[in-house]
Amino acid sequence: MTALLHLQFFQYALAAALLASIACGMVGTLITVNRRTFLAGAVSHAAYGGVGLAIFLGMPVLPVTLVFTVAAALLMAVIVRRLPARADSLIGVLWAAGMSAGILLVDFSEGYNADLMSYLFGSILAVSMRDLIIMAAADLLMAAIIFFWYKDFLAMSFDTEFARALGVPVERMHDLLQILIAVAVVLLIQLVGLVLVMALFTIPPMVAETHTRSLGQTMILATLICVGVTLSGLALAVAANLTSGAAIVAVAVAVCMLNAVLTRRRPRNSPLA
Amino acid sequence: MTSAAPTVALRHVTFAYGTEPVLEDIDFTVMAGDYVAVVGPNGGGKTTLIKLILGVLSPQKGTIQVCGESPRKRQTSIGYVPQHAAFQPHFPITVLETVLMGLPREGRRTPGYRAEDKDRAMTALKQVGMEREARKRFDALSGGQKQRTLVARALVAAPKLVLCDEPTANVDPHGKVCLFDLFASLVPRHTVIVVSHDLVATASSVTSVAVVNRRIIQRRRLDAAMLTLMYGEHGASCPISEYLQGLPQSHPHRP
Repeated sequence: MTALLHLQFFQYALAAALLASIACGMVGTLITVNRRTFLAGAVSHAAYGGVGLAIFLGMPVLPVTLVFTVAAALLMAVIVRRLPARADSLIGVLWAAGMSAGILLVDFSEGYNADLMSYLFGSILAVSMRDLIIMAAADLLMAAIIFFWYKDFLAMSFDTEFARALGVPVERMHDLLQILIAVAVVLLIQLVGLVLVMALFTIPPMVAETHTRSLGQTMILATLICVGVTLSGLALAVAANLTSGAAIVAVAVAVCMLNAVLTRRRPRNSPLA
Repeated sequence: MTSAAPTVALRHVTFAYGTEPVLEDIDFTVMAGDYVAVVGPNGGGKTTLIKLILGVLSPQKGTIQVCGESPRKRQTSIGYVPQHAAFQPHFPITVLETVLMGLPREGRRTPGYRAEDKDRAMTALKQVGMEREARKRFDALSGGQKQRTLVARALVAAPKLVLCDEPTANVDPHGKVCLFDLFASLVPRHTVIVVSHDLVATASSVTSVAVVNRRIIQRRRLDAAMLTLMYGEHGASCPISEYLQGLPQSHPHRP
């Protein structure tokens, strides 16, 4: 294990885990407190359509997938706003359509042998320096956006009606959140895969919010939990020769279950109550 | 604006979601220091009325003024306690930060709060008797304590007008009495409009009652016409009406 730390690919994997954790800690917390996990899942699966389209058109995957996924995410935001009674079903349609479109477009792409399914669990051990720079820049951008609009995000997430009365542009903030989700998804599924992105979007914030007193604290603690589970998962994958993404998810689920047991036993007069 | 100008003035206001009017030709006046109960059946337009006064909705016809100007221009003059606030059960936020959320947002959207803002929030919490709970998580409070916190959030910006939309929903009977006592204690410093289903509790302490059911009737005392608008043609003879009409309608602050 110690010898691995001297290998460049493993160092890059650790850096990728750290950068992915920052994105998931920030955006995942907003997803969890806004109860948008289903929408985030739909955005993640719709991103497959973008990957397939890029491969079909013979264009670079990142920019095409980014534009496609942001457009899909905003379309979902419009559906939720305009057709609330049918939103659940229609988002489900987009979820399935995006993924199947991606797979079909790859099928139609002559001579392309890459396995689209590799996006399910990603390839964190094959991260390049270019990937790390893009991820770091995206983390900085997302952190700046959340910092600048922190109180608007807080008001919108806690009490939408009150936020609206306060003058917070709730619809635009929801759109902004959808764009953040799309950017985070596109940057992360190539590295850590769809399953891991969804696990890191939901599990660490869910665990963190039971131990914190503010949205900002939840984002920080969720990021630290993300770092902990990704590093532990990587170590487990190396030690037991397992798929890295799946090992990270397994550790995250174990942490979630352990937290559920411990917090159930927390006395009612706990300092956090 | 003269000192006699009403705090809230709706003139010939009509509002519809789609084509069916929810409110039609509404005239509604609330003077400074009044404590007004807005009652009516479900779907009668009570919450729509509150949203129009807030400036969240705009009427198709008529005019709305708050303190002599359009509601959008007087947003900081209005404190708002929303209906059945659908909070995430485990949202990570303290009582103090919940109250701080009520401060005007202009120019201060980034994290962190000034000491003077925290002082204002503590003052608002003292006003509702919740200062000892300031450091607690909001989700650890009882239903009545949560509503008191939301009233403190509405008061933190020292508004002229406080709008409460069904503030006693999900509150036990004792908590309801305490909340109505709290609203009564806010006047005449604040003008208070409370939407409620609880006719008995509101009718005993307010300065006037407005019954809303697509149209509006606003009087100092409940009368047969108001009960008919509320309950239909047999409203005036329903068992509760005699009791309601017999209740004193003078407010303790306005002998």
